[in-house]
Amino acid sequence: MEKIVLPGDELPEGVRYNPASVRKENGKAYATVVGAVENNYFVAYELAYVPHVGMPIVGLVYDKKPSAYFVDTTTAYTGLVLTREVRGSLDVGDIVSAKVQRIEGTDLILGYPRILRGGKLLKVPSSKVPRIIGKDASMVNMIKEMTGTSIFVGANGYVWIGGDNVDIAIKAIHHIIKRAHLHGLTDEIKALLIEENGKNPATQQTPTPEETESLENEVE
Amino acid sequence: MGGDSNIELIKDGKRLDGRGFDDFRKPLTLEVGVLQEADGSAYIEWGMNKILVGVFGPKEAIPKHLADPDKATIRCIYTMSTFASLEEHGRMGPNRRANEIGKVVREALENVVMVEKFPSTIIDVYMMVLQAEGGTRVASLTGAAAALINAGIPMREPIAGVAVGKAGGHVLLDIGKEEDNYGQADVPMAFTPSGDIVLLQMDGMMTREEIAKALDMAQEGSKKLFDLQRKAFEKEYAEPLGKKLSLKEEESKVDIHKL
Repeated sequence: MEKIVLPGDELPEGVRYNPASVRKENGKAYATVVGAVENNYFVAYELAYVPHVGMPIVGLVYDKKPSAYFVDTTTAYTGLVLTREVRGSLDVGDIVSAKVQRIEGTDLILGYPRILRGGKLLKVPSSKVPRIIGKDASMVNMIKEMTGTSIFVGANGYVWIGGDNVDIAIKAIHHIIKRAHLHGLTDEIKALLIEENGKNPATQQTPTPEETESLENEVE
Repeated sequence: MGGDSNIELIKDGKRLDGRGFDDFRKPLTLEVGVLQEADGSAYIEWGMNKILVGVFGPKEAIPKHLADPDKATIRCIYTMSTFASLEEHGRMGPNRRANEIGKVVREALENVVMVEKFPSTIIDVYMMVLQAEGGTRVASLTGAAAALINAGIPMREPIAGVAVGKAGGHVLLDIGKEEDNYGQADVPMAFTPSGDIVLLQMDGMMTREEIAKALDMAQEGSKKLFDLQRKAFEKEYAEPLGKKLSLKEEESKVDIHKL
C-alpha cells in the first residue's frame, strides 16, 4: 500500500492531480483530501461531489412542474430537466440519465435526458465512480460484456443497471467499491465475473451491437 | 473549578491516575468509517470518553435561510447521551452547554474546511458523547476533523485539540474529570499541524508563564493526535472497506413517500 496522504500534506513535485483535491500555495501543491500517490498521480480516496458542466448524471424524477422535472441526484444539487427538452413526458419515479449543461447555485440544468426503463438503481459513493468506470471505460465495459447488462454510471453516484444479470453486475460493483483503493482490481473483477458466470452458464450472453454502441457514448 | 479544594490531585510527582504531567490518558484510539449511512464518521476513545461523530453533506441547505450563496454552512451538533456521566450534564438535547460546544467546534472547523467550494450547501457534523470523563469538547473536535476527512470534504489542514489545565500548582496535559472539577484551571486548545490556534477557551486562573507553558505542552501533545489521525486512515485503507459502504438498491418505480 502507498503512503497515505492527508489534507495539508505537501505533494512531491511533478505529481499530477485532480485540481478539486489539491490547493496551491506559493507554487507548491498541498492535498486537501485523503488519498495516496500512485504512479505519479495523486488519487483521492474520498472526495465530496462537485458538479461540472458536461458530467453525466443519473437521477430519479421526484416532482414535476409545468416548466421542469425535478431530479434527485443524491447530492446537494437538484437536477432540473426542462419540459421542452423532453419528447413526451416523464413521470415521478422515472430514472433518467442526462448531462449537466449549466450550474445555477445548487440547481443543475440537465440536457439530453434519456429515460432508463426497468433495471435497478444503485447508490455508490461518488468518489468511487472513476474506479467503476476504469481507464477509458475499461472496467464498466468489461462488466457489461461479461454479464450482458446495460450500465449507466452517473458522476453523482447513482448507477443504473438493466438487463438479465443485474445481480452479478451489482456484486461486481460492490466488490470494486470495497477494494477501490487496492491494486489489481481489473483482474480480480474478471475472475469474479468468470466465477459467477460459471455458476450460471445460461446467463452468458452479450448485448446486441446497437445497445453497446449507444451506451458507450453515454458512459465516460 | 474547585479552586483551593482539599483534594490532593498531585502526589509524589504523579497525578491521581498515575500519569506524569505531560501524559495522555489511556486508551487513546481513533477509528474512521464506522457508520454505514454517514458520508464520513469517526469513533474516538480517549480515557473514559467515548464519542461517535457522523458527518453528512455537503447537502441541500434546509431550512433555506441557512444557505449562504458564497460558502457552505457548517452545523455542529453536540449531544451528550443520557447515560454519558453521573452528573447533571447527562441530559440530552440542546442545552446551554451543548450549544456552546457546538459553536466553538464549528468556529474551529470553519478555519480549515474549504467551505467556499460548496456554496449554498450545508455540512452537518453530529457529535454524540456516549461516555464522558472530561475533555469531551476537544475529543469531539479531534474526531470531527477525522470524520470530515473521511467524508472527502476538502480541508486545508486537519485539526486536533487537547485540554491543558492546572491542578495542585502544576500545569498538566489532558486533564481528566477530577482535575477539571477540583483543579485551578482548564484550558481547552486546538491546533493545526502548522501551529495555528483554532480553539482557546479558559476557565479558572493561570499566570502568564503558566499559559505559555500550557501552550507549548498542548502544541507538543497535538502532534501525537495528528499521528493518531494518520494511523486511523492508514488502518482504514490498508484493507477492503467494509463498514462505511452505503449501497442501496432501488427498484425503478419507487413510492414517492419513501424518498
